[in-house]
Amino acid sequence: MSFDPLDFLTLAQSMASSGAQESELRTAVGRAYYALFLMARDKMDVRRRNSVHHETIKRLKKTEGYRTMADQLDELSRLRKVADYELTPIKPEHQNWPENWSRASLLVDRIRPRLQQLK
Amino acid sequence: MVLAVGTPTQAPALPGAPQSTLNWQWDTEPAPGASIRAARRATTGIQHPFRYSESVTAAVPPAGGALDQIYVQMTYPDANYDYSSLTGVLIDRVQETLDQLLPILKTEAASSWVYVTGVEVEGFVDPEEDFEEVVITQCVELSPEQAMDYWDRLGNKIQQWTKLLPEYLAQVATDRLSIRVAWKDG
Repeated sequence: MSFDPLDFLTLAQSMASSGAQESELRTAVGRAYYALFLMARDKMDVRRRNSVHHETIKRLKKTEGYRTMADQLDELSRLRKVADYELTPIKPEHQNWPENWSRASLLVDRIRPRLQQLK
Repeated sequence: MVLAVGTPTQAPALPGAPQSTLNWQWDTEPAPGASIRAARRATTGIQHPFRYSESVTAAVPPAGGALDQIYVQMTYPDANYDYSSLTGVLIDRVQETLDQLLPILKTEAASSWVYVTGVEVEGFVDPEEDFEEVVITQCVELSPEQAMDYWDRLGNKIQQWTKLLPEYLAQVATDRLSIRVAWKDG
């Protein structure tokens, strides 16, 4: 039985509960992104191994009615890269991790139902 | 100066134009000959109505009579390019696409009665995949939920616009441009 990527989202939400440390919030952002990215990749039938994130978002952008959702997933992807790569976030707006998680969470709430509707 | 409160009954005829003509209904009728300063209350058409105030000036005809049209100066910030992050990304056809996209963002904000506080154009280099893109951020004075609703409308417009572009620019719009909406704490 294959793994359900939404289990990553459950884990992310659990890690980001009140009082979470920065490391937990950074990890939560990453797991939340991967939950949605893996769903999107399968829905878009992206099978290549290189540039798979970009290819998935590009295909979503071309899907009728999904431009904003693709841009929102792209935004979550950039936030994930801040979480994983920038020890001191370059942009001041990214230096508050509870706020970063709050934004990620809003994006997830917006993207997830639409992704699930996608045939 | 008289403060008059009015409600526009139609969207700007030419959204995004320097001046737009609106029909107004006045709660308090301004006196004949007065110069007025007006605050308007608008409904966005997106999920939740919100208060939107903007200063406008107009002269009421000296002879009096109904003032049912007023010229409103639409204010919109110039795009702020972060050239240090755009090195190597802002090639000619990307700039050509941006030159067409930015007025669309302005038009959509105006027709949605969304107050825009800034427009940022930045480059983003992916640390994992060999990929660069230009991120265009429209900073709006909306709640997070309203901003998300507005972002949806914007996306639909951009998708329609992309279909009208020649192939080489449509490819840029899809592959190289990412559009985001940022609200106050976002």
